[in-house]
Amino acid sequence: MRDRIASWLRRNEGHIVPAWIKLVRFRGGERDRSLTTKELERQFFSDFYQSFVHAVESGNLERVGQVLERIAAARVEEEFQLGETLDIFILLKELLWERIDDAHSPQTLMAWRQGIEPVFDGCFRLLGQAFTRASRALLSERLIEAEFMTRRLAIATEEADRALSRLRILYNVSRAVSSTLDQRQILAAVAENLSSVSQVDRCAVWLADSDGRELSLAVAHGIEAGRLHGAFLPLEDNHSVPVRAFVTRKMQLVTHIDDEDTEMSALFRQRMLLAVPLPGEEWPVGVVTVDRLASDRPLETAVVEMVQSVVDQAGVALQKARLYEELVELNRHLDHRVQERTEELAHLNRDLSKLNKKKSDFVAIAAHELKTPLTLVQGYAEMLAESGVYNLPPEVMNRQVAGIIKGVDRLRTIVEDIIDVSLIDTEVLSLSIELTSMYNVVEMVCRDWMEVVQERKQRLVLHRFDDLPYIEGDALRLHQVFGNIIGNAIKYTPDGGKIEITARQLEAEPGRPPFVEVVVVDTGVGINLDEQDRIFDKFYRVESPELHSSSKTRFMGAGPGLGLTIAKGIVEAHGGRIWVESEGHDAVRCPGSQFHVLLPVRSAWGDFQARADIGEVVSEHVRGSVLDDSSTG
Amino acid sequence: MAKKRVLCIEDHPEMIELIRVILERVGFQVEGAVGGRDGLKALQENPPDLLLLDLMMPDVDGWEVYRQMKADEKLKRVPVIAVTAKAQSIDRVLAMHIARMDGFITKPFGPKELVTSIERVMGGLPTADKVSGEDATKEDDVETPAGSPAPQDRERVS
Repeated sequence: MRDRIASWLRRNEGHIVPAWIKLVRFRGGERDRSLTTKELERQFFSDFYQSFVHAVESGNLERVGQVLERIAAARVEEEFQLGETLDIFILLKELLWERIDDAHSPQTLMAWRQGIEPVFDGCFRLLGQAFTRASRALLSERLIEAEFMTRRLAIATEEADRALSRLRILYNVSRAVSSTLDQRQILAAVAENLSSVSQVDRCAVWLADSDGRELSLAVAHGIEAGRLHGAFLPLEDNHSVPVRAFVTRKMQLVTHIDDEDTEMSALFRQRMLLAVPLPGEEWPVGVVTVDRLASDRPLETAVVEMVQSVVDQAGVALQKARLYEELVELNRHLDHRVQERTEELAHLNRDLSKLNKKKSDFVAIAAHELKTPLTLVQGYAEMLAESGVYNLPPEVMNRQVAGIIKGVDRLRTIVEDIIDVSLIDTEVLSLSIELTSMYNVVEMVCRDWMEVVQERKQRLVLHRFDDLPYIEGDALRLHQVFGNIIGNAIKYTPDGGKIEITARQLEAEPGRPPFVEVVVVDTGVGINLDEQDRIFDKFYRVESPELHSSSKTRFMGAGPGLGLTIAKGIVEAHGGRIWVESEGHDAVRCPGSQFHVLLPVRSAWGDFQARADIGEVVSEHVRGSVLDDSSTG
Repeated sequence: MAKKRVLCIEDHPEMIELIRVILERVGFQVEGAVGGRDGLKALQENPPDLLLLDLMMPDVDGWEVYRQMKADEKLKRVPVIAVTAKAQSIDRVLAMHIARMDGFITKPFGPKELVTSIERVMGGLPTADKVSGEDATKEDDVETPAGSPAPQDRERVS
């Protein structure tokens, strides 16, 4: 029987051995190519099958049991493919029983069964136990792994969530700042979005002042944001974290605010504080701070990076907004400038047309004034030509020639006056300055007029003032001034009236050269207050002088109305002043006029200075007495 | 026959003198008044046969003298020749067509122009045989108002 079992086993090697080889070769779940099929077969036979077959052939049940147990133990020890080893054992057992059934008597069968069955049972138990043990170990390992995986998954999910929220914030900020060019809106969007980051309680944006002295709060958002309102951080304060970030242009992250720094601790008590410089064109324009109320644990790197990226983005957006604002401002400014310019031009245009009107008036009046003497010359000349000079009685000829001379004189006077006015108007009147006695000038003028005065039965009284200092002036031009003023006084004073001339010295400020004031007082018709400035205008005549003049001086009276204009121009060119004082015009009562001429002793002063000084003296003088008797001699 | 009297109202006495010399040579008697105020006085005291009126005078201008004259029954028929240095055509139009003055002469003018103007208005000169032949050429300077009767047809005050 032993032989038969053994031969069966040998016969069935074809089933068992490949199964075994397969088993061994896939050890550890991986195809083991280190051993060839032959080697595996040899191993199987040497290790296991041969000993089993020998044990069966020996008929020694105990030995079979031992082999089986050894194999099972080896398998169990290796904890290798226990399930499949069990399958092989089951296969072996079934094959064994099948063959034994066929060939043996019931007694033998029983004996084998009683002998082998417990061995198989033992092996099965052993393998089963090992299997269970191995499975359990495997299971717990898997469980731990699964748990670990679950936890990792949860963490990953959380991270993903946070990343998503960061992305969302980035997206929000990005959308907010790119949809506006308003700097306030950009900053508000930054503060609002950053304060909603999971690990952040509050976000504030600080902007550097234009003078670069401090960072002041632009906008704050989040828990206790109101505490920061109106806050500012002096840039001198090196301890301030935001200031440090601003100055170094580097992000600053602190987890413990120094309590000794009262200002900082008042603003950011015991908090985690992240300060990121807000980039500008070259230098930062401010700082964004992010802080946390509850914990001083540092922020996650990802959050810090996100804050940094939001701030960078905001910086770019701000720059854009600023450029836009500048552009808008520039535009507005330009508009304003254009408007201003237009107004200026319109103003200038008005002035110019006024000036133009004045010029053409001047030309018209001048032409008109010239035409009368021209008519005289033409008339007498033509009459002379018509009659023939030699055919005329001498007295007629003399009269006509005198008429021509008179006309020419008058033409010359008018032309000279017009030239003088032009010089004054264009400010090219030049003076030949020399030391001049005002008394001599005025005395000479009085002599010129004496004949007319006598004819008009007027009195011309000149008080001596040759003790006054000589002034720096143009004697000829000053002669012209007083010629016009005194001539004017004669014209507007009725026959039998009086013209009186006095002078005095007026002191300027201490250390400054004094002034000489000459006053011409007449008993004429006077000048209305509203006309007292205008009489110095070109071609201005108060009233016809003919009313109060005898026929001869009527000629003198009918000047072109430029005398006072010229006088004023000459006096002002000397750095002096001329004005008239009169109660008003009254042809019956004759209140008289007083012409004042104020000349600086030193004309070489800066014009502006001199004028300012004269202004003071004049106002003082006007308040005081009009005539100072003590200075008249 | 008494000499025709011409009154000259002017603010320049030497102009009056010149006009006197010119007109006396052709047989007029010339009186002068300096300025509008004196002129009006002289007009009222003794209305002339012809008035030479300067339009630009400082006290009372020629336009005002003319207006007052035309309002005065005694004076409104006295023919008036405007004498002015204003040469713009608007003044001429104003004088001739609006105010309907009888003549308009601009400074500077020569003796012939003046005489021709007066001849136009007066319908001849007291001693016409002396100058009339030479004067027909200067028509431009003496206009008659359109649509009004020729000056010669007017009733003359003598």
